[in-house]
Amino acid sequence: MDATMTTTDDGWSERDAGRMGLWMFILSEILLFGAFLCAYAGTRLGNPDCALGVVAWPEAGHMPGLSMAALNTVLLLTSSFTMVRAIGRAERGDRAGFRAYLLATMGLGGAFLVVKCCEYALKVSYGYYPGSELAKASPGLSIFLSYYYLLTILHGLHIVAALVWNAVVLRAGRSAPMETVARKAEFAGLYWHFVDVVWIFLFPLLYLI
Amino acid sequence: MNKDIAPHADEGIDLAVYLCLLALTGATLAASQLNHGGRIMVVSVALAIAAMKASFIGFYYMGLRRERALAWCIVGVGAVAVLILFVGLLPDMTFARF
Repeated sequence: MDATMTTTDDGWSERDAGRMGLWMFILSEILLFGAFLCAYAGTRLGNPDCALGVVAWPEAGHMPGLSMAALNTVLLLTSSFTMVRAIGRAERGDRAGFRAYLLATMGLGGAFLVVKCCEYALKVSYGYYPGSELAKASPGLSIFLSYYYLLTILHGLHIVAALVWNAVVLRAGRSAPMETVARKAEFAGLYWHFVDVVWIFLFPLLYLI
Repeated sequence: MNKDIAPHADEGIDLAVYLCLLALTGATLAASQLNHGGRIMVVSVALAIAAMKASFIGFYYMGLRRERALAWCIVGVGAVAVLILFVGLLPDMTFARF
């Protein structure tokens, strides 16, 4: 991408156009997650076996799982903060600072995935997965677990995609003009923050109520 | 540096927002332990806090506060569409008997 900015007669720069394109993409993601979350809320509100407003997880193993989810929330919030700092450094032309903060962001995202895998292992060890004997004995729990894995895996895939995007920007940050790097980082950051926002809604809906 | 791309200039605000987000996460966990007002109240409080956190991130980190009106329209369309989906499910939730 060329570092030179072009601006149209009505005041739209390439950056504005790029951001609008990304907002349109985020709109499609809002509709994707929104549809699943509405279906999830509808199922739990209409089903007395796993009604919304009653903690769906059985007591056994709930606290360790909740602790891991809370840790993951902190990890993602921190990664959003370091992402903002990375963009700020790129805008100031501080290449080393930009790379350090972006690497920190990616490390926190990777840590999120590791904790998530540990949490899955914990859930499976307690028999909390669709098709287990426990789930077969409790249809409400089985429905809940299906949504839990669907939503968290879908979100995890978005984290992976965002990490790949960040890696591309990090690579560009080795030698590309910092103005170009800043623009690329800003676009990647927009998506990273959106993935964080999705988790902010998943956390209470899947773990606390 | 082109002044067209200088949207993340205030590191003090960024840090304050981050600390607010952490505090709100603690508030969400605390609210989930509430016994007053029933569980539906807990659901409402938890979702209200989540909406507040999402607003902070959208407004400050994603740069909606400096964004063109079109971006607000795009996000608004998404929010309204999800609301329509949810409201559309309400009759089924109200009358369904599993």
